Amino acid sequence: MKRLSSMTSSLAISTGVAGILNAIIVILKDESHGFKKLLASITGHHWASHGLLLLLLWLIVAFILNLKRVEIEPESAWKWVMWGNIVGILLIVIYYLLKL
Amino acid sequence: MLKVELLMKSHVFLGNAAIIFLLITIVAIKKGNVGVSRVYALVSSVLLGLCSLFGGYWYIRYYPGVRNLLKVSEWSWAHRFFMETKEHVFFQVFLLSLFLTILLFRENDEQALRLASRVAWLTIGTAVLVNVFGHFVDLGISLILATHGG
Repeated sequence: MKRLSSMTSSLAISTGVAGILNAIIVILKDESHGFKKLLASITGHHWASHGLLLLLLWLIVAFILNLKRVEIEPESAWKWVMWGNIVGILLIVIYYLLKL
Repeated sequence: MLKVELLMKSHVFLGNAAIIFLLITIVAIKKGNVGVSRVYALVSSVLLGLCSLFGGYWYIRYYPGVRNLLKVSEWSWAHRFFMETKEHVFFQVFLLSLFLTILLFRENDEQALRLASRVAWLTIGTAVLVNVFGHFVDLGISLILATHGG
């Protein structure tokens, strides 16, 4: 099967990784007042900083993978994107359910 | 009050419009109109970007007042579960749509287009989840405003 270009492959993996990083930032923010304050100090609100940080991490992970010329097949790309997104959502949902 | 209402409704409208554009992106891919699908995917990313700006502004500027009331009420779940989850899962919807747009602009073979359709469905599913959670937040806000005569 034909592989995706390095940039597309890198972005697919970083999209999946970002799903999990998103959940990690959520949990860190809620568990560590210091981290939440640090995020809030960047833009004035933790939510806005969270979004910008995630966007930045998404780009950094993709940039590093692209430098390594990573190339994967569309099927692997789908697995990265789907599972990263699903695991990220589940972690957030379970975390807030446990906090109810 | 009208400005607050407009801000709140506008981010919901933008999010729903993005879902519609994602759906027609899938239709365009299925019909083999790759060029058109690129435009639709790009529009959905722009709409979601605007949605985050409008929704974010409402969330930061106006929501805290209602949130403080919600948190001490019997409908605190509206904030503590539904809002907390949706405000963060939204970031993933935006990143998925950006990835979809870049994927369509850079690849055009059959397998890549199949991947694009799947990613578009995943983006829609995640966006619908955020939307449904938003309705629960809305319900909590309506209940608290009804109680406090807002």
